Amino acid sequence: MKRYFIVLMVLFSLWEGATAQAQNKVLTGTVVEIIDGSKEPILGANVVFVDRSDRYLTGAITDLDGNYNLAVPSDAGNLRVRFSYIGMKTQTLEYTGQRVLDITMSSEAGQLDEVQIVAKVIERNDMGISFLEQTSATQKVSMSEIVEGTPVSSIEEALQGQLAGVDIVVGGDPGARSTIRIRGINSLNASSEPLIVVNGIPYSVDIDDDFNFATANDEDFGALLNIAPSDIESIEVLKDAAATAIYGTKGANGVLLINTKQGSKGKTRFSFSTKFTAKFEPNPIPLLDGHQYVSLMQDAIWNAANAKGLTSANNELNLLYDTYDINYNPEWMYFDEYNCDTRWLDYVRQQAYTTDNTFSIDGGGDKATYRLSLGYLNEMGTTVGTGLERFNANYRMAYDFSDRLRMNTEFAFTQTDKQGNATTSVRSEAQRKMPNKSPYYIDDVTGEPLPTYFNRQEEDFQGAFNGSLGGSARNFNPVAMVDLGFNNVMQREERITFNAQYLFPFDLTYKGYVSMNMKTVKTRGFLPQEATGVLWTGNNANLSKDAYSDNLSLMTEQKLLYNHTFAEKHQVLATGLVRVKQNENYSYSSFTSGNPSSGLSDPVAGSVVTSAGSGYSKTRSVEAIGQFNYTFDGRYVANATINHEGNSAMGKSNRFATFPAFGLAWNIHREHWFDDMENPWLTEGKIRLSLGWSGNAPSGSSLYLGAYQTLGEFMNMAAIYPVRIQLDKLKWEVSKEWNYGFDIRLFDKVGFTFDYYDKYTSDLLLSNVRIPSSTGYSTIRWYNSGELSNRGYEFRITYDAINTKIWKLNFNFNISHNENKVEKLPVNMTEENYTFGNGNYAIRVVEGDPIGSFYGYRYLGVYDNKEQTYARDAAGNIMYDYKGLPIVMKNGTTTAFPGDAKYDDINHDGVINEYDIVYLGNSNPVFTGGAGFTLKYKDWSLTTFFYDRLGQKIINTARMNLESMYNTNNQSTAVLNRWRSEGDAEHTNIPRALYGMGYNYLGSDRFVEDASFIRLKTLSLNYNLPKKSLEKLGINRLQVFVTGYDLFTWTKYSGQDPEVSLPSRATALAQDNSTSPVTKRAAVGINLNF
Amino acid sequence: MKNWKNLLRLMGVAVFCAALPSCIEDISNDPHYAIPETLKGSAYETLQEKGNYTIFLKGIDLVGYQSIVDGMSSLTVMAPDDEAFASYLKGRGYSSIEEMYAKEPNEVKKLIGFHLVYYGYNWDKFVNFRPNEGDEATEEERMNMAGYYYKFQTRSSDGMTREYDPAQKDSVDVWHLERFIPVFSSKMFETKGIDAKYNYEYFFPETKWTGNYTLENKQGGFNIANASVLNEGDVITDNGYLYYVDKVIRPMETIYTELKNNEDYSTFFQLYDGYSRFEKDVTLTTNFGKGKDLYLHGSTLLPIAYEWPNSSYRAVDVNSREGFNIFAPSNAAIRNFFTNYWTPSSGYTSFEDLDQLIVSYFIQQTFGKELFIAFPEEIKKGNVLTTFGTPINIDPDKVTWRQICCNGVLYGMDDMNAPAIFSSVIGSAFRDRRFLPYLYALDGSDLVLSLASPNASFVALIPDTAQFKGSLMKLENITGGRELQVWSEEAGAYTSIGSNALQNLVNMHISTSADVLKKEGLQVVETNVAFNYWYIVDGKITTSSLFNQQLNPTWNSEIYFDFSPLEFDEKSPNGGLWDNGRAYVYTSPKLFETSTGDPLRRVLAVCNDKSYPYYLFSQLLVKAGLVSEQQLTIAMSDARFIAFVPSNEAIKRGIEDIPGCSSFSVDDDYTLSGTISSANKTKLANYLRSYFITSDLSPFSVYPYPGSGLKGTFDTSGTNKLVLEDDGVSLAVHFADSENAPVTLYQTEKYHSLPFAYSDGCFLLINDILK
Repeated sequence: MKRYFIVLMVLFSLWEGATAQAQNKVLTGTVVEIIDGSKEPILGANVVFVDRSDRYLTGAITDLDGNYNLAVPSDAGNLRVRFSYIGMKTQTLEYTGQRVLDITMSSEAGQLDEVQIVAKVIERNDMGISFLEQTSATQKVSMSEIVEGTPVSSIEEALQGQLAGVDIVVGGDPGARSTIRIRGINSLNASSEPLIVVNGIPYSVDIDDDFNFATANDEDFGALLNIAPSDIESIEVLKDAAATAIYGTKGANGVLLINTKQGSKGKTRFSFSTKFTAKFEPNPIPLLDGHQYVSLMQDAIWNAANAKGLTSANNELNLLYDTYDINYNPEWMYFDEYNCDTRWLDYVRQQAYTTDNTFSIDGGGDKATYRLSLGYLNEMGTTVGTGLERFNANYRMAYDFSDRLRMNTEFAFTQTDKQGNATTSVRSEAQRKMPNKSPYYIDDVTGEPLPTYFNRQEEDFQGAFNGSLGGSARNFNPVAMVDLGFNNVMQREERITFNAQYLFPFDLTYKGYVSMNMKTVKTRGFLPQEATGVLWTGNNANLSKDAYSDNLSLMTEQKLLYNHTFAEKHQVLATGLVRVKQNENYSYSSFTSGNPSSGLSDPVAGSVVTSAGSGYSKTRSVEAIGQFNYTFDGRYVANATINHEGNSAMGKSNRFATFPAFGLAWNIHREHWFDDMENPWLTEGKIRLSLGWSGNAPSGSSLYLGAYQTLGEFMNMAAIYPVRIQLDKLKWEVSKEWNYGFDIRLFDKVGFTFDYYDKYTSDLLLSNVRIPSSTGYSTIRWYNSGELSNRGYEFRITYDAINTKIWKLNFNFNISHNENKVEKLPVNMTEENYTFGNGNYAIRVVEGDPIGSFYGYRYLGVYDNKEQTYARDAAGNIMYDYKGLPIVMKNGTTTAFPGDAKYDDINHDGVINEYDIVYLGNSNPVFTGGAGFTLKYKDWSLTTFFYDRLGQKIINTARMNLESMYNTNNQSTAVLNRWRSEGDAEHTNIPRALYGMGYNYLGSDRFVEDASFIRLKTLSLNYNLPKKSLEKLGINRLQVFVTGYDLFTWTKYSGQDPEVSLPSRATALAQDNSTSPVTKRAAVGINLNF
Repeated sequence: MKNWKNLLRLMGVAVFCAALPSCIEDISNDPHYAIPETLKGSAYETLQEKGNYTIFLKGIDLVGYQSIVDGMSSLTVMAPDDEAFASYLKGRGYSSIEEMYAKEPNEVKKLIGFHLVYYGYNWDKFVNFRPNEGDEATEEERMNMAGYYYKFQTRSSDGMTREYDPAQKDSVDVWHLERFIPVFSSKMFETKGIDAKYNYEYFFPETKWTGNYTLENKQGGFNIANASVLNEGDVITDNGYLYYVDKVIRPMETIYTELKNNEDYSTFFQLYDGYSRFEKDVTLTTNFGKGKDLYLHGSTLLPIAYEWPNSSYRAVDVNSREGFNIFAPSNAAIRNFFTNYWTPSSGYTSFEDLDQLIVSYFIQQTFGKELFIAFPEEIKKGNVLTTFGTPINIDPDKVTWRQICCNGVLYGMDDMNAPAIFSSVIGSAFRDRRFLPYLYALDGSDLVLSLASPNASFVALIPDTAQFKGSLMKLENITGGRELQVWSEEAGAYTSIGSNALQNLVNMHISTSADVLKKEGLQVVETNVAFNYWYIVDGKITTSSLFNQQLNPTWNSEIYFDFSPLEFDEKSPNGGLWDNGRAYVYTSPKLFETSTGDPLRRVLAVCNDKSYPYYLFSQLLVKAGLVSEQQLTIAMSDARFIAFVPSNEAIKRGIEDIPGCSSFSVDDDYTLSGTISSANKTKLANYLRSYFITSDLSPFSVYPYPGSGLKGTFDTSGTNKLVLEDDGVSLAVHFADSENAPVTLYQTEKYHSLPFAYSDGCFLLINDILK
């Protein structure tokens, strides 16, 4: 097998030999090893001349017969020849002018001790600090274990539940954006997303606020982490302010450090893995069939018409008597098309499969290591027309120019093609679509569907098309939309990084990098007229979108580290760095309509350009960070960091700010009283304390600048007027965080980690704050006010229960709790307007309550008869009006009738209105966590992982919309149980159907549900085929696995899935809008190493 | 062996893999989404369970309504049991519904559909449906017209028929709307204050009135068309309500169809059908035309061919309450009436001779005024009126044909009296061909109904064709009929006359203030046009407008004309005089007209001709500065006024006594000479203003004439008050604070102490100046 890759190795050697110069003297020889007593040539062994300072001078690689030719450098004195080969003991010989030098290499097997020493090399982070010297809350996970047996397409998915204090909610569609929150919500309007650092380089994920041209939407340009999970070596999360300080303010919401795999010394290794995953979408909420739907509509409209009085119900009468869509009349021209039973969702859903293949080569010698990986992922979405295709290539190369200088280059290329539907609301449209309507025209004679999409929109019961390409829309044929429409995003990303490290004398080290990240996003969309039925002359007729954006992000970092131990006990570690970042964005978009087809949608020929736009933005930031770390005797650690940072988004008075952080740690197990113990029970023990400040700047460029707009002419002169206020005093949002924690490992079996944190954020950044119009402005773009706190704890246990050669069993468990609290309301916080109406919850930010609280009515069921509708006082007695007639309850302005919703009349005034609103709970989970165990028996291993979010409440908007019976939307079969006549209240709490009137689904606790869940995230069975039989095939390892993903969810939640994506704005409501639910998946795959 | 083991292990993995998908939870098993066991079942299921409704269910299946009865639509179902159905089929000569369907599929469809009412009506709604107030109706509101909204839309329709449209001279596709079914509730009879049993069984003698049966807590009961509701009451189903009825409910036809199908009423039907109008309906054409244009069968008269009183589905209150009451004369009755009313001398010899307008009035006399169902008891009480407000004068018990239709009620009669309008004061317009233009004038003026009212008394001048011709008016044929037109100099052609002009024309010929026109002496008759009068002097008649012409010394045409009464012939149906007044013809070559030309303000302001009897008064007005030179009118308020104008002789005689006129002298030929100082001008103006009574200071509704009743003390525009004396024969006037004798009216042969009436006022010539 080795021979097949000789060419590749030769190529590397040529590269390595670039420094070689033409020489006259040549050293030749043969390199062999002894196998079963005979000499066998070694192919590809490394032969180099090195000087006294171990600098490599010339080098060569042995050929098929183990021969080599090596040019002798001109400076022949003091040279040594070094032979090395993967798995063999490196030999260095003095060069004394020989012409021929043969050598026999021996296996490294006898060098185990040395290898062990290498294995114990203390892992140090970017700032040169080892785990022992850390004073802050961090957690590291190795991805290999998670990813190998688990088919994930994104990092977020892989990480969910693995990290205490990191709350991740993933979306169901391929490539949909996930929400990541580390230690709660820290800001009202500024971003709460954590910083992601890839191989030490901050990765730009945020979308500027001023990035808002027509095409932009989160999903198009969203921060997909364009890194294949299989390329990731490890992920570390930095949680507290002291830990994140070295990443500047961008890390204020936490930092995810991602390290990708790199080459390692040794033989060239090839690995190939392939996974095939089938997705099983849970059955949708059962909806009404065509007959039930028509019946419901008639019932609802009839009830409404009667409630109003028929003569005042023009619209209802029109629907009841003149709208044959729901009015059975075989004489009507579209009778066939409107008397079907169409399960629209089934037309837009599909069985989906994912294939994921990765291939990598890595290896290296003394001077250079390399790793090349290629990956191809093809993921189908469970919605027809959606999918994700990703190709990625990553090449990392490290080269030691000398013992002092090490260069590292990384090139990564990723192309992601995301296929999306032309509108984001295909599923919701399919769900609401009248099920008695046919997707296709029906042949009047045969009664069979014709191949033409039925898109009658005018005078349609469900109205005419309304919406936009790439956005949400209503009233279209979803089948045609998924078949013919699309909104595809192609994202191509190239990342090039040059890393250098130089070891100066006196324990001084320089590290630096230059990183370029180029991201190109191309969006193409098409809104087919067949789906919308709009007039050909309209703007939406065969609308085509073409958008392009280009992002270039440049970053450099220069860092000096000093690491010296004085008098064996006083270790000093000092670091200083300067980091500069520039980000540039170009964008362009155009929309054309009247295109003949999706393929013929050129904006310059034969179509109408309906809109076009372009944008440009540039931001810069600079930060200077210093860190000092002192360790006494490996036992006591003190740490201080200072970050001085500037951001072009800030006003000139506060553009630069300084954020310090401090930490203390005590490594108990290093105390000398353990020295005498033979087997100390405390393997590891550490107490930590840290305090840090961090800042948060609004995103965008030059936000502080005031702006003027032209007024045209004023009194015959050109005139301008101010539209945006100058924000010279805009400040950073500052958070101060205390962290107390300990790490304990007992008997080298059980590990505990506990952290308690207290994070207090002040000068909250509020966007678009309304200000008195007397100022001449209506809003102020950003404003600092208000205070917020997050307090909580995180707890982790790992337990290696069994560890024998045959059996291995280990458990892990983590749990975290976060309490969010509004400490001080912003001074002029504009309370979101509460409009009394169906489905509306009051959005309130209340001092002392957490963000994400729900306020609404208390639901009591249904009024069953006339008497129950009478208003009652606090004592429960019926109230009477001045005429002596009982007062009938009113929901808002409408009188309650039997069958209507009954709410708790908190103030007993006979009217349900905003004065009856009460606190109903909040969307913050009480606990989040994960747990799992791995059981290994010989070549078999079984891995499970459970994920849970407990105690959070969610507004089940999907259920609300499916039970409201308020409009023409199709409803769930739950409404079959609606109140219809007196006595029904005994067995139902679903009100009567009432079309377009009444208040039967006010924002109440009827739809606020406990969305606690525990989910079996992974259940994986691995089998490593026996090595002996594989070796014959030249295979090192062949692993077969089968994994079930998200198989079981234990929840009381009545929606499709309790894992509901959180709103991007902190003050928005957490509600389940029934997007594609997280699918259950079964994957089978192999991992092959040779 | 080892390979086998490996294979087994792989198979284990495969089984694990296959087992995974089966672990998926199914939300449809969630009891929240399960079909509840408490559902009551659809109407169809309920009937199936009941068992004894197989024929009805079979019928539902045959006509394709199974899906809607079985839950797809919200319905109120009236279900006759097998016994009732079998008896119905037997009555039609069929042994099974399949047999009937094979022969008359459309009839079965109509029949079954008539048992299916759109949407759910519970017992309360059938007893007292409230389309206007809805569920929120208070008890007080529910008492208003309780039970009057009694008809409900069913799924029974004739669909499309092909009918002849005379206007297009071709057949057209006519769309028929769905029938309404009547539900007669005890509440309806209670509200009307009539006996439910008698009135219901009058129309449905074969069905017992059981509407007094009621459910607990309900306010009444009902019969549904020709059926009684059985005791179960309103049965709640998942898709509405179900009523068990004792008879198959016969689909009701329109009044039009019933008349069309009854040969005994062919004359009346044909007369009506002449007014049929077919209107293309764009919406229906789009929805149901399938390539054909669809029409609705309307009429220029009452649209009795429409299934609905109002063709809009939105007019639920109208359609559920209203219907037409038709009192149709049979062929014999019409024949009889014609020979009595129209004689050869009147110019009409047969029905075909009659003008369309006459026929239309004739037909409309057979329509009830109220659009709510008229019951026999109400007719007996005299509470049912024709379109023209006259009571329906029939004995319901003698009515030979009683039919409740889907759009109203039909009473068929073999005998008829002259309709009130034909025997009213304008009856001649219908009866005599000479007065046909006048009939059109009446019709266009919309005054026919009020002139036919039996509650008033009129004197009418009936102008004939020649007089209309003299006024350059004539009947012209236009699309859809005829029209009275007038010659327009401007257009150079005959043009339509506006309804205001026609009202003026008719009102100028009508008076309600007199009972008779006197043949002797002086009589002033107020016409129905305010401040326009007929002056009758010694058996001759003129108008106030013509009378004014006498002031013009050069006028030489006739002023007064002969007149004579117009009476029924001996054969008049009701005998004797017209029912509500007297009618006359007059001999003027032209129509009498209202006063036109210059208003009085101008007449008095611009008189420069010394031969006019008010010349000097006009001159004084000019001298006093009371004439606006720009507008050439008297500078006074816009109010109507009465002026007392001293004759030229009187002013000449008393010029020196007139304040401010000391420097003036009057020659024999009435030439006024001299100048006036500004102080005198003011004096004179103040004095002259006292000759004017204006309606803003002293309101009046008639002009003064002997016997007009207008007398007493009046404020004037000037400083003096005027006292007007009227002894019934002559008038006299004086200043209120004057001790001088009252000044009498300026008497000539021509003027008869009568006022000269103009559109803005009148004046009376007096014999002396006022002092």
